[in-house]
Amino acid sequence: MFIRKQLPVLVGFVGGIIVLGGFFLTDPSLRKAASTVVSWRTTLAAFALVLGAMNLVKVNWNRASAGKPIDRLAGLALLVPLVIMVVIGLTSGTTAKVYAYMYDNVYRSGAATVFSLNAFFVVSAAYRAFRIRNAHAALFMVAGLIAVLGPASIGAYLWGQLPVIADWVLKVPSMGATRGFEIGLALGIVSMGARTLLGIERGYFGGE
Amino acid sequence: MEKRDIWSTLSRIDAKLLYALLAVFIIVPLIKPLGLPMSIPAETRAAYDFIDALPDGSLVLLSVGTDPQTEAETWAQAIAMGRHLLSKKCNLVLMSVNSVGQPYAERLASILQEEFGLEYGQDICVLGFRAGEETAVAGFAGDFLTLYNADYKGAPVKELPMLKGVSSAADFKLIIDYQYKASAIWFARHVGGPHKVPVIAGSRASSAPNMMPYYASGDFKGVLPGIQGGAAYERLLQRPDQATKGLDAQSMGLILVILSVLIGNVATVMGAQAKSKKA
Repeated sequence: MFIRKQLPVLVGFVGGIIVLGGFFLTDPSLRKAASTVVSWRTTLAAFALVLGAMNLVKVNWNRASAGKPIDRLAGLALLVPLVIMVVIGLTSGTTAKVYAYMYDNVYRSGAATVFSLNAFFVVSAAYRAFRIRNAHAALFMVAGLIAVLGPASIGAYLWGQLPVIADWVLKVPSMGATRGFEIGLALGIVSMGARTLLGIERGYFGGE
Repeated sequence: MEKRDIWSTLSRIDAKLLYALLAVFIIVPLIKPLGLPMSIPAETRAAYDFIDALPDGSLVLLSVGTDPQTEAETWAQAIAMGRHLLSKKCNLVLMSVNSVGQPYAERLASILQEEFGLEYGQDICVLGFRAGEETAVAGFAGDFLTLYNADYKGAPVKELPMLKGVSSAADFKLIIDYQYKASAIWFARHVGGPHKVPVIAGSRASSAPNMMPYYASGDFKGVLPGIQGGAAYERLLQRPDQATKGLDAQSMGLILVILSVLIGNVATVMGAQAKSKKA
């Protein structure tokens, strides 16, 4: 029970206090210790990436071996390139030409294409769904037009004052809202951090 | 067969036609730039002026978070700023906290090396990717040489001539971050504040509002918002390139979006009026 409950809290508390101390205090040995703890965290994160990949393989292996035909295809579509890239990376290294070729001509092209499709969906959605039915929708439309057209070159072409208004929107109301959000978020993080350090927040135990 | 009136037709435009129009609106300016006027954001000019005022030979860190999703917006920024930095004879250190951003760091180094005839390790180097996102940035701030004891090819970092005598993040004169999540904010938080190293953010346009409070507070010395930031930087460098073309294409795409909204709304309103008149 100690190993499952108290020990993780103790490790988290000690590690957290060292890192916090290293950030706020100037003692060189404390800073060195904090730096060491942080470097452990980056190593753990690298292992987490491997763990994530293994989980991905497990889930998609199950899909590919026992799912519907479309699920099998989807599972294989993920597993085959993943295995190919891992094999190339392990045998030739990630700086090899063949690795760069696969990255550029498979991953990069595919990911950019999928992301670019958003533009087509936006146009279609703008035409079909954006109906100005009330004052709120009209206000949203005007604000959207200013925010979208202002920074674009066509904005200055249509009306010279549009970039000026867009800049004002960005630097006054938008910045005010962002600051409020950031401050709220920071307070939330401090609160959550304190709860985690003290062992009150135990979500990372996996729901037990 | 019932004859449709014009409003009914306009309210039922086939999506495929819109897709085709968008493709034309975007591709034409990319092939033949229109040279539309552009405004230069104050925060982009500030970034340019800051780099222009750097002493020759300054050591600058470029954190390349660019990936295929953000390439259209931040890649041209990285090229333009890299050219500016090298015209100031700065030494560039490239790294990434994005697992799929590392190849972009390598490509950026390769392009700049070829264009400026740089020697790897002497003028430019690539440290590589480190996992952990914000923790990796904190690690960089805490003990740079522990996080990066070797470059992306495995060569010991301490043996790279350009990094001789560099022992801490504080030795960098500037950090420029090309956005991956909130990476510029991580650098401002862990390196900019504690070590007083200036930070410039190359961001996506949609993230620019999140960056502005940090620019206003002085945590960022400049911000490049999306394609507009890249195009403005190219204008300041007097070397129009990818971002300038991209800005024209983006503008034309936006025109189609706005026309789509207007046509959809006018057709709906006029169609409803025509129906009520018939009734």
